Amino acid sequence: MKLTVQEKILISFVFLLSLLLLAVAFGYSVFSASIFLKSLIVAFVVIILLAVILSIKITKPLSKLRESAESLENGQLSTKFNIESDDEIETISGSFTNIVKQLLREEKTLTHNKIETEALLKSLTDGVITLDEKGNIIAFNKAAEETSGFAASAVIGKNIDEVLHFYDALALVPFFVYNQQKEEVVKKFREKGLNLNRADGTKVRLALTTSPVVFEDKKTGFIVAFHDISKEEELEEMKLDFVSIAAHELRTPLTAIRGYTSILEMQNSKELNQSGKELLKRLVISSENLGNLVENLLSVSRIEKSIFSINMKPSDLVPAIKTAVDNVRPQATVKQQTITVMVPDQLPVVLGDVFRLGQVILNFIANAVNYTQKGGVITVKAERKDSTLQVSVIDNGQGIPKASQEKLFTKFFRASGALESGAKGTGLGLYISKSIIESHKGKIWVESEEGKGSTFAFSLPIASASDIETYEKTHNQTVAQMLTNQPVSKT
Amino acid sequence: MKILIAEDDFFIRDIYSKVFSQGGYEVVVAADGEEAILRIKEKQFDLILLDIMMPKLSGLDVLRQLRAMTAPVKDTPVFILSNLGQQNIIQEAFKIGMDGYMIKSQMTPQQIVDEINSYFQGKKPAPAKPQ
Repeated sequence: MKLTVQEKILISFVFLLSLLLLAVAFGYSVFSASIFLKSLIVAFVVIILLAVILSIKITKPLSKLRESAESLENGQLSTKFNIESDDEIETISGSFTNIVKQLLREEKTLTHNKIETEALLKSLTDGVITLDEKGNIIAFNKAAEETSGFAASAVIGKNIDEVLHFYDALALVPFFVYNQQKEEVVKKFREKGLNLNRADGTKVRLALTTSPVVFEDKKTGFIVAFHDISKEEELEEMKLDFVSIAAHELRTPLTAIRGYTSILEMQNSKELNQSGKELLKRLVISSENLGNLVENLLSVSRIEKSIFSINMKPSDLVPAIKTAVDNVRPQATVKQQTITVMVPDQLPVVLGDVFRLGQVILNFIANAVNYTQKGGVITVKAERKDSTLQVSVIDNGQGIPKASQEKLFTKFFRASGALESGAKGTGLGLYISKSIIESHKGKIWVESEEGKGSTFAFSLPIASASDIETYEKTHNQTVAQMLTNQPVSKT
Repeated sequence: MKILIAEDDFFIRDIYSKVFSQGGYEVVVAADGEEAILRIKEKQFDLILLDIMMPKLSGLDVLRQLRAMTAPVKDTPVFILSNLGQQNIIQEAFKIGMDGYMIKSQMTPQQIVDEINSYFQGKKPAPAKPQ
């Protein structure tokens, strides 16, 4: 029969009390006064003994439960809870048994997950390192060992910066510095990679990503993953070398073509009839286009290899703008377009390569002429905006759809629908223009609406007094003298 | 004015010798580096137009040999006329000693003649244009 502990206590109490009353009644009615008192004391003692025995019997299961619970608390998951006391203590003990069963099951699942994860890490070809919140290495997978040349046993427990040295060119990039970089910088590291010094001293180029491990709103660690990109880099180098070699080779027949067409133009054109002259004119335009394309290819390969030369000097952009406009005027006239130049006689001096900037301006203006209809209007503006010099080319041409606008400044993108082929002086592509402006620490952008026209613009920081002073000191020449000797870009 | 044009490409050699002749110059051509050295040893030139990529001996080697000869030959003005634009090549040519560097494909033949004319008239020599 199941009795609760409370019922057991009450029953025992009533039982003992009854025993006591019985003893008192019996003694009182049977014994004489003196023996009654003595026998009462004896009965009392016996009753107390009985009480103790009963209490121990009731609470023994409880202490057994406490012991088992303590053992469980100390981590002994195999503790058994076998209490048979026919009351709530047995029920509690049953619950504990179930809890322990669940704990064991979960522990098994966790161990299984851990083993799966370890197997996964082992099989990855990318190196994966687990760090604690201080940057100490907790795990180091096989690929990490192979790529870095360090054994896991040698690095676990040490701080990542102590063991692995990552370099961006010559600058050491410690882990927490890397972690605090802005998204664009991290993206660059991920794409271009960092150099790692291997255990044997050689270098390997890696693309790195790190992710924090966040648990309950706190960073409890980091995962660092890296991918060996040396082969990819080599391939990239080979591609760029190929482009560079091809472009140089192309220059030779190009020289001959342009040379002969030039001679024909100058010296033999009297002997040509009208249609012959027209054919020659088109030949000249095409060969100039070819020349521009080859030069663009070469520029792009140099930009990609980071050897595109920029010569920074204090410069005045007014002559460059005028030259660019003069360059496209013949074409614009043929298309009956109006080019308005809104440029003050004097512009603030900027630190830059006037030849390269001239190419950007020519690119903008030539694009405007090409992509604007007959009779269109093109405005070239240059003005000071706060601490920058802004040059914009505005046209009322076909405009550029929003979807294309982001891709405009990328390599090989061509907006559809260039009106009329045979565009002269296409200058450089927008990709090259972007590289030029960005290496001048400037900004380049487009504002356009389909059907309404486009504005292409760039802004450059105006040369500060200290910039000019530094330049004058190192070149032994005042800026004023320099600007009068400034060469004008030739196409 | 006597000029030597060292250029391995047939057509380019033809174009330049035509244009310089019409510009009033006495033109001698060489089709490779060795031939250029032979011509240099035979005659004193007022100017040498040197291509770099040539068989047998490169333009830079011709330049080195020229600058190692005796005066007055060793001081003959030299303009490099090349399609190579790499910075390290230009620097090297400067180091050996040249008077100008022009990228052929970026200039019309007449523009090159004009530059040489300017040089002889005492103006600034043609600067090395960007690649």
